Amino acid sequence: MGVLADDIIQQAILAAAEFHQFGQEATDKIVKAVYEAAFNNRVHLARMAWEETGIGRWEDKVIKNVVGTHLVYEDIRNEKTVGIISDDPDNGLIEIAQPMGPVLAVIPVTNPTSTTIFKILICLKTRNPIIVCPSKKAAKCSGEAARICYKAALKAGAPEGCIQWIGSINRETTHQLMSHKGLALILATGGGSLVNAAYCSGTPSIGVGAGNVPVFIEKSADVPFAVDQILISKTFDNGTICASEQAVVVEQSIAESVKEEFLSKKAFFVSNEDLPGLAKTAVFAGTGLMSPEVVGKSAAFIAGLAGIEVPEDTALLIAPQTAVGSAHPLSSEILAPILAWYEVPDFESAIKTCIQLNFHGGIGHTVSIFSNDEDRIRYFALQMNAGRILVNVPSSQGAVGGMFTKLNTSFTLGCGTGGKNITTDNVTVRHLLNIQRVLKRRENSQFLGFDKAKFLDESLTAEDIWPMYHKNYL
Amino acid sequence: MSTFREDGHQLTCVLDERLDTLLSRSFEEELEGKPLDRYTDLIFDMEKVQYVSSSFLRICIKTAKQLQPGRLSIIHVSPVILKILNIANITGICRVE
Repeated sequence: MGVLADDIIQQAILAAAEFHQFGQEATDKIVKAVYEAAFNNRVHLARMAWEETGIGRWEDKVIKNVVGTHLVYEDIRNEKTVGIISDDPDNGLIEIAQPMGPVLAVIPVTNPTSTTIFKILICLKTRNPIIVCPSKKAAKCSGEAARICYKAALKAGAPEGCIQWIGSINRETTHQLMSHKGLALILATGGGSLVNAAYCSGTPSIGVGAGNVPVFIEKSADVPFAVDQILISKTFDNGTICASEQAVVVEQSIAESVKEEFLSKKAFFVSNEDLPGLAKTAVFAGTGLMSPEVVGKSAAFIAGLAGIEVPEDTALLIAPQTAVGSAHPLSSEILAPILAWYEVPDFESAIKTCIQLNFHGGIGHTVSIFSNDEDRIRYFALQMNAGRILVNVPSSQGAVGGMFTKLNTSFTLGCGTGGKNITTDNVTVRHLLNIQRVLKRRENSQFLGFDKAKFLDESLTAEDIWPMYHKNYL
Repeated sequence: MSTFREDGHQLTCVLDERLDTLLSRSFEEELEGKPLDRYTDLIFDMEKVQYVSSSFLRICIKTAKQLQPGRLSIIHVSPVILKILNIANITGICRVE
């Protein structure tokens, strides 16, 4: 095991030991101090992230930092996370929250400061030391966010070493950290290879999956409202949130009005002849993965790369498509203001197209619908495989919670087993606790009073036993 | 303040109730001033101790590594502190009772 990894984990273990002695009040004091410090640096950190990565818009990164501080704090501040968190005398059950231990937090380049702050807040609230492992392309701004949080935490009485961050780290040390026996958990938000490395490490891991979010504008939808909401979401930070819409699906009967609405709001429909150029620019032909050249860039910049002439103030590039799959690169996830467009004859075709999109790289993540027909909303929801099925909300903002939905505010969105994750939840403090259960005697008189000899009699089947067992208990 | 008691080749450190970062540092300075190689046994008496910081835990690890195996003992620990010493893997490198 490498010396650097050993030192980092040793520090974290000692911090975990000290943290273990903190009560709820002392813990909450630290969390409040860290929230305030991070919130007060929201603009500085946003500008730094934008300057370092060149991704997105700094003004939107400020809002992301507000979500990662203000909304996350509002969401978690009243949660009981220390000691006895519930006491149910009727069922003889007491629940005790215990910290897990050192957490390795993998941070993506697309949300480098907001995700860092979010993970620090949920780790401190649960008394878990955190080791921030940023993207190489955003190491400075993630490190600065961690430094600000750490300074505030120490001032509020937190243990030394409760927040650590790694400036520049090679792949080998990352793997040594991930598989270190002193590490309790990996919170892996990032690309597929890093998430897979976390799963392969042998350390319990909470990862995320990729998204490929279809948004269905059903014919009962309020079209101007739907288009407005999609634009709010898809253009936010130039489309870097993994829950942002990737493809819009519309029924032919309303397609023209949806198109007009998009055009009136500075969207640009790419012509058939320009589609191959856009696809080549946005997606690597061999792997089918999005090109980093376009991630978080403006629509006009991407159009320029693809050799497409568009007005400078173009908000969104819309790429008409006829099918879904690897032969159609623009049907894949692209974290940029590019939206695939599917015009389909009817409701059933729309559902089928959404299923295809959902299963083309976005299983378990998020889907979205604009509709005022409850039956159709429910039918749509039942056919999808998504942790978040959003109705009449901008999906980027809706999925992270706190603004348009009552979901826990989170920058780590579970995608269930479809996305190779253990949960479909928005990851929050409850996922970072070991819950111990104290169980007092509460007898099952029906079971204890039943003649056990009946179970030993092989000739009696379930059909025979069932009525005997339930006699007088109906 | 922590107090030190010499008894032949044995040095006993009777530690304070709350070993926060500051007190741990001053204890570390005092301990560093002692000629530890003159004693066969070093004892940290934790009878009064109710809270330990990571700085104190670091001192335990550093001291255990400096001395020959078995020469550092941490005694009179409460159940709470015993758990903390276990979390910090200190029970594996010195005698704890």
